Amino acid sequence: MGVSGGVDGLEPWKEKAFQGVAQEVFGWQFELCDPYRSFCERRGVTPSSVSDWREIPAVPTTAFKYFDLVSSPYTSISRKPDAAFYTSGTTLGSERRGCHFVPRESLYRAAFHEPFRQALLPDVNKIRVISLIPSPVAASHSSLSWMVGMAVDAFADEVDWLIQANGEWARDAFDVLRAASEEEAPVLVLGTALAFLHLKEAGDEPSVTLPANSRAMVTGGFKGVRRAIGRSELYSTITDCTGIDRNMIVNEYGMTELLSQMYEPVLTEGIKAARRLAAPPWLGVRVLDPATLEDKPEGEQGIISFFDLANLGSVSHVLTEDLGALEDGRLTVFGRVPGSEPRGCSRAMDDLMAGGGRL
Amino acid sequence: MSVNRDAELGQLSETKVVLQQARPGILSRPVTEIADVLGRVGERFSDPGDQLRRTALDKLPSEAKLSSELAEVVLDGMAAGWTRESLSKLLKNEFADPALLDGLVRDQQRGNDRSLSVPSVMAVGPTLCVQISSGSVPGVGVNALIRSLLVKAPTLIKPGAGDVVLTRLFAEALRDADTELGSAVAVCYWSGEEDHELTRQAVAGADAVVVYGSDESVLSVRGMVPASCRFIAYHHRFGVGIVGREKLKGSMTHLANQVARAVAMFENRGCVCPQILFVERNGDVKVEAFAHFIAESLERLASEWPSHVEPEFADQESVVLRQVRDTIEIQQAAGSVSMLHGGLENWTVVSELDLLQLPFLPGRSLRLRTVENLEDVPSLLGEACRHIQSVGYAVAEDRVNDLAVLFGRAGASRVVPFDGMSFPPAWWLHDGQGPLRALVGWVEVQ
Repeated sequence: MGVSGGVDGLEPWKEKAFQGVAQEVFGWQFELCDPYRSFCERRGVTPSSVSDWREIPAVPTTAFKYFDLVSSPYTSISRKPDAAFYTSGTTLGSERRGCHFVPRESLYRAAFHEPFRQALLPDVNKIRVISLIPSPVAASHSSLSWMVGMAVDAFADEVDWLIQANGEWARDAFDVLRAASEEEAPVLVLGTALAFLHLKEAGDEPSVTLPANSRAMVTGGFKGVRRAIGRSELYSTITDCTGIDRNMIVNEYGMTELLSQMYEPVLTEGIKAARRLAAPPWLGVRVLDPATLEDKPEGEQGIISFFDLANLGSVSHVLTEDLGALEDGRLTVFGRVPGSEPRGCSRAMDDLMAGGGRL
Repeated sequence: MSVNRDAELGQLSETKVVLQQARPGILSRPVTEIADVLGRVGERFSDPGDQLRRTALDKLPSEAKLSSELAEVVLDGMAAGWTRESLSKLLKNEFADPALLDGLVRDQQRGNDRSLSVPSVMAVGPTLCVQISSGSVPGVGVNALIRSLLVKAPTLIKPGAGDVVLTRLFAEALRDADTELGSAVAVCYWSGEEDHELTRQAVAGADAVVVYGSDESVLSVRGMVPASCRFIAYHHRFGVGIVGREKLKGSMTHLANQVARAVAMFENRGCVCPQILFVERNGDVKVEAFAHFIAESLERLASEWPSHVEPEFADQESVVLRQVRDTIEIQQAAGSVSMLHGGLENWTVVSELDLLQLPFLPGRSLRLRTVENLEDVPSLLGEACRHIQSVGYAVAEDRVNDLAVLFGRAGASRVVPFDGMSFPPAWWLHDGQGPLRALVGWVEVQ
């Protein structure tokens, strides 16, 4: 299996165990998800023909923009999915958004809980949460907001949402940060890279120094925005405006199309774990050659592919557009491949058809 | 090669002052003489023995992300419009008497009414023109430079990221050939998408601004200029192809080759490249068979004009191609499309039963859609027609004009056989307007 270096307490599964569940999950999805079944049949793969989970066809993340990839015995009439998460798109254009239907939210919650706890709260049971990510009430179609909501449900003894549904700062956002810095209890700050950048640039507000043992989770890159900063600058930015030490900042990697997440376990392993994401044992990770889809040798860059058993209700095997490398079972992500848009004076016809064509 | 910003805030203002100082000099030069100098510089890019061409061919592939073979074809095609003969034709097509650009000319009598007074007229170019281009189609910046100087407008040009080399080489060679003309042009690069402040400073004080780019870029620059500024927009467009049933007979290899070349030129990044081919039903050759012919042509072209040279870019493209092809394969499994592709080569041909929304296919890609009648295509495309630029055609001679009227009324501005699709002549009506007349104002003495 791709990932063998799980975080403590989430011990790696034996290959055979993962294989068994993966095969069962594939059987379920093959039976219930029509577009996926046709795709697999076209490739000559059926549940009975597969002996290795790596042979199970992966759907590209782009496919979530064009197909309802749902694997549920319930029809939309008898039972609506618990959630429908949409990809964020970009601020640069009218890009089509992907949708991930989640028939049962409970599986998302189960997959989220322990990896999050071990990555961010290995030493405390409850903590005050300050979120720079909108609440799930404000952004019900954001998988990230749902995740933060689950974190609050499970681990927060107090929560402040500093970003409103429209993406603007709450009126008292900076008062909250200032007040928290005057307390003794540590704080968990959750935010996207862009939110932390905005925090730094937010007018004349002075930086704060949050109490000792405070920690931050940062997620996401700068996809589709016109500004971007490097990784070390991002971490300096977080430290500058919150006072949280570099070794207390945990990077989280997740995507709308997956219900499982990966974290850099710097809180338990120290700074040497930076840029080395650990996956839970139910998330198979591979790095592939984009042209041949063969596994890249250890340490070599390729396209990242996941087999997420928590994706039971959609499709588990997902091929991303992100480049990365695997070493000792830990994943380093280099980012999204640029250039998926036309680059000359030509414009994608479909972009325009969405506005007025007959489809 | 990565392109770095070479313009700084503050510096652009000085550059524009210097440019404006060049205006009296170029105003005093006859336009035919200016065209002659520009043509002589332009012809160097077609001369195999000229160092200028060799330098261009050396630098173009990595900058424009084209193979050296395709870069040469692209340079030849673009430079054909930069000769003395082409520029002379351009002037004559735009102005019955090019001397209109040199001073007052007694106008032609208007209509048959002899009682109307006949004024003297002249055409006046901008006092300062700023041309902002984008993208990676090489040669657009040189065209912009030539057009500006033909109307005697001192010009600041920001080329597209993939078009800096040619624009700069032309400007430098012009300076060597004719200092006075050369001093009327400045080429500066910055990222139009990222550095709005530089764009804002660049267009300040210009009385003509030309923008080539996405609809978003055009809108953003349009909001920066005052009402008194002439604003010319070449927004994003796309090309389509139409094939009549009468052409679907006999050997299809020749037509398939023409279509494949139109697709592959500029790696399908140009608005002159067809993205979709509408093919009429009930020809002797079925659409699926025609798709195979085109696929075979694209496969052959992959050797004649290989795609990219930089492995890094090829890798990136293969990631995106993998995403898109696999997504279309799901569509194919459902029976609504059929797809042929080149595997490691970047060509893809998709035949659709219905006009579907599909992810954008990078590389040399073409979609084929069967239609009952080509006359139905404009209504099928709806408002998207407003973004059509070129319509490549293979139809019977007696259908061309009627179809051109239909497509023209829907928004297209160029209807052309496939083998002429890639390189319009210098005097073409670019996006429906005269490239020089769009830049000038008129003065009449009554």
